[in-house]
Amino acid sequence: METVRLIAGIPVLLLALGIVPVLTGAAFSFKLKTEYRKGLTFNYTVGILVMLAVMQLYSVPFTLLQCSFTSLVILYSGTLALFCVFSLLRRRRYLAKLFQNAGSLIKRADKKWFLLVALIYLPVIALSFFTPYIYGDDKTYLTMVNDIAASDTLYMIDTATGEPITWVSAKYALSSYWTFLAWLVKITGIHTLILCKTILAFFIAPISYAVQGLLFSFLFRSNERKMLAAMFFLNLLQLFGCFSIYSVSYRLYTWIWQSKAFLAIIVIPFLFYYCNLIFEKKCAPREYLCLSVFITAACSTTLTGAGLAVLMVMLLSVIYAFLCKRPLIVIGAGLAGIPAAVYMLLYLRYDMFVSWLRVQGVFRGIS
Amino acid sequence: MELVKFLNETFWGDGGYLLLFAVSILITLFREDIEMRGKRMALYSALCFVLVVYNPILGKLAVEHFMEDQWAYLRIFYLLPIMTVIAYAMSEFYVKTAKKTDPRKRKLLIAGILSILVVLSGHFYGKNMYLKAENIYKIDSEALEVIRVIEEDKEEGRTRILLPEGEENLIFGLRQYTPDLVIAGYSDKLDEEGGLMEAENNLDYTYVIIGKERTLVDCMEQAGYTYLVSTESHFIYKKG
Repeated sequence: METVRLIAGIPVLLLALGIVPVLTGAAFSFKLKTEYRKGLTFNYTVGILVMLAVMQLYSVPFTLLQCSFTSLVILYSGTLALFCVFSLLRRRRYLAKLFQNAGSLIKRADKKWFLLVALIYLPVIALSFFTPYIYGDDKTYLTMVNDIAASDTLYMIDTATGEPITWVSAKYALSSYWTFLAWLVKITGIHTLILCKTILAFFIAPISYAVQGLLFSFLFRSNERKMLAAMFFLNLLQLFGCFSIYSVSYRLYTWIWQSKAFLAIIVIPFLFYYCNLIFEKKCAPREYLCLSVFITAACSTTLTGAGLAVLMVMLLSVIYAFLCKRPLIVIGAGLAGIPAAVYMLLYLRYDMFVSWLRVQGVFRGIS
Repeated sequence: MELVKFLNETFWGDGGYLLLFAVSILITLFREDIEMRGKRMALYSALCFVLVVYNPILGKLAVEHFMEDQWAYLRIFYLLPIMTVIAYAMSEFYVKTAKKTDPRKRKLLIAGILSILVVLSGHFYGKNMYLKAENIYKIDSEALEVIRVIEEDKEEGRTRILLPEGEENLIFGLRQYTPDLVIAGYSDKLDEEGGLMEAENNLDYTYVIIGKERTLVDCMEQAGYTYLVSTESHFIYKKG
């Protein structure tokens, strides 16, 4: 039965984490400068971050108002469907060009790129048969995902016992990565443990390297020889990067399904790349708007993500403002960080805010 | 300053990546033939390192108001593109030193030297970090066996169970695998005098899982529990 669910769920997962991000990214990125959004990788990563940001925008109020998980799934899936339909109707030619360009890049690619892809996937395949030593976080987070999907509530089950609870910790209420995983479990039907501990690595690891590829493409101005060398060295550095349980590579090769891992290996590096990309030239307001969406995606992983994203963006904006003599970059970056400021303020005043919601009788429990 | 010392010792450890990182930043910043984009990345890394990551005031604020403890504060290192900076500097060095027209041997030699540098500076993700997965769910196989026995016997919906408190693999495995088993309490005190009666009066449960070494085993059936099955390390009883 589990095998049947797994086989049936894989095509849905490929759709959810393969096609939908490209369509969503294409729908969203069309207002950015053409030179930024030429590649499939860029659009795909933008799409994934938009998906996380939308989940954050829906999940936090739904959690605070104690709405049902099913209502969230319907609203979220519907929103993504709208992005996809818009993309297919209005961005058809752009999408065709994206896939055409990707196809011709693959056709003329040096064989060493294929070796690199194999090197990226080899550890992932090997680690499919292993698990990091049993760790408490598995019990908390994966149990949480299971409970959300099964109980149709949002974080209202005690992960230690399985009993219902009435108070959700700020840490879980104000981020939404686990709701995102529960959505994936719900739509694919794949068991949480199989999805998170084995299958997701096959998506997350290459996305992480793809983001690094974007960054190297920017740094080396698409010099293929340098990019290839950098990616090989990066691969080696990651394999030998077990000097700390808080190194980025540690997240890549252990609990890759965790929100901290997604933040460290995908969201933060992409934010770094995007800020360098847009701050180098005169930024349009829509580019700051995109930045704001990506910062919201960082908030969805953990609340730490909110703080880290803002710190990185502000420091980069100050550097570029000074070097390029454009002080307005700092103001734009500050405004883009408003979502993070809102979530951090909610975190600081969480108890007060939730108590106020209860007094107002706002918990309607939409089902 | 204690926080700074903690960050240094806990994050970088005894490996050489700090040295690789520092050298990469210096090379990128001060070599004239390196692109401005790379220099900006190196500048960001240097400033972030000094003003953010190792800033004791920021650290104190973050730990007091936003983080659970100073271990959580180690995530600040995510801001540093350590691997990117080192890989960038290495590839610039490699491409400038091993020209396209150079013989293959020379190119491999230079790449090999740089790779050995990485291997000697770092720590590999070795076998001691991982356990071989016992099943597709990557949970303890004993936990999976217990779950399967109860799932076959129980009615649809949620079921409450008692199980040994100290057995983390069993508890973690159960809760991760299925949301249908609610841990009503623990079976450790059942073999104390009056323990079973107290549990029956105060806790609502259907199944009891006890370790094979417990003395309680003898009196469970006398107390009206149905013996279901024995797994490798546990007996499973059903109430009634």
